[in-house]
Amino acid sequence: MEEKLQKKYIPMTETTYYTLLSVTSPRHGYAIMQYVSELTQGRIVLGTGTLYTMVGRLSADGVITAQSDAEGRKAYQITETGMKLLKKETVRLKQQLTDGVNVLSKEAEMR
Amino acid sequence: MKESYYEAEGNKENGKAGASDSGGREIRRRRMRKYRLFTSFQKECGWLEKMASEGWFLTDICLGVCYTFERGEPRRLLYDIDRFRLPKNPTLEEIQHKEFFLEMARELGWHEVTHDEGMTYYFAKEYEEGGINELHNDPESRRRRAAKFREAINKEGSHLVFWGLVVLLIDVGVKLIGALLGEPDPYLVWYDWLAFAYVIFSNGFAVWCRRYGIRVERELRLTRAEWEASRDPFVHREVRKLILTNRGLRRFLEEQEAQGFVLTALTATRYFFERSGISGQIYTMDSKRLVNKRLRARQQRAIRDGKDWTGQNNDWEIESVREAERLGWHFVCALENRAIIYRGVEKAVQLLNDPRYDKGFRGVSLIGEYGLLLLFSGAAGAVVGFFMG
Repeated sequence: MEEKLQKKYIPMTETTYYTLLSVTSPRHGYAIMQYVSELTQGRIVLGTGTLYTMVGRLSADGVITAQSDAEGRKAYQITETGMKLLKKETVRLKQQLTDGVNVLSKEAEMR
Repeated sequence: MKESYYEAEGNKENGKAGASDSGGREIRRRRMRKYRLFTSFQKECGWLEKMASEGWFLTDICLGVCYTFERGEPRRLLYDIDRFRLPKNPTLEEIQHKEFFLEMARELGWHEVTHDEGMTYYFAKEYEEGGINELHNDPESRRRRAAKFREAINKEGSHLVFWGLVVLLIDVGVKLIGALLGEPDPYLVWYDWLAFAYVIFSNGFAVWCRRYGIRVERELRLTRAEWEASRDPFVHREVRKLILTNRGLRRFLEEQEAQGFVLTALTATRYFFERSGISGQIYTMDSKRLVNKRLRARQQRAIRDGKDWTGQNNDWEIESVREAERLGWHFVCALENRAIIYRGVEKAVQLLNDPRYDKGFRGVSLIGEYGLLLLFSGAAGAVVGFFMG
């Protein structure tokens, strides 16, 4: 199961990555949108349709869980599996970034 | 539940009226029914918004044509749609999809008003200055929604075609039983005609559904503002015209160009233009026949594909674009793999085709080889029928 999920989610799309970041503490749908927008300074604005389809997929895969609060609203939170994925993806992104910086700086030296 | 939404909103706005009437007598609810048939969802939502601004709020839609409204305080209310119909064997994700979506929509201020028999849901939201005033606020979400609607519409058409098969089988069965029972020869002829008419109707309807689905998809991908802009006659123009020669086509396009409109797309009889600032441009048309004429004139082998029965091989198009771009032309649009339209600055381009082909009849490039075959065999049939009859 774990391996299947890794295949599906790594590499991760930018919107999925930020959505997972935002549910490291419990958040409602609209709060996820606002959080991502603030975190990226408006660079990424999640669409309503995109978000709910993604939330649906993530929760069906057990990457996040939904819990209803007293008013019946759903708050989403990352699961342990999701956390593992997120960490793994972060390591991968770090490696990608290092590679990019290395190649580009070498390129700059050559010129 | 749906009605209580409007009631609550109404009371908030005219709490005074409610208070003065608290003597136990309920305010008489005023309802209205209207019958309308919309083929455009954007138009429909626009109409509903107009009704709201006049103080009539949608409460129910029946069979897609009967709209029930309730009187309220006139205000700017927004309407939008989405559909939630589950596939045959839904997954967990698909079952929960609607729940997630409705919750999300509620947080953004949308309320479910009603839904129709085809599971198209109507939502309403108070207009919010500077807020998110769309149910689907990014292109990806709108694309998903549009695809859902197109698929649903296509399905309607194919269901009718399936019933046509049933009707035909019943026809055959009835005939067989009739023959076994020794019925006289012309037996239940009216049913033959009925079955025949139904099959024609259902196939025609299926074709219409496919086209209608494409139209709906295109329109639902746009926001309301984009959709309204796309219908602005100052910016967009659509002309229906049958043009039979290449020269006629060129002249027509250049006339439009003189009025400030450039071609963006075309079908056999419809031409779509957009307003543009560029001028001094001319058009030319190319087709497989013309490409082959040029190749032969240069002693090269003509493009031919014996296995390409339906005209899907695009070798001629590759060749045509390569040549045209070398001569300074820019690709504008293509007509169903049969013709390509190019545009270029009059002084900067060289002629693509010999002007003597200009008067050529646009038969194949207009309706295709099969289209011509159908047309000619139909005409031949009519002539034969006229003299024999």
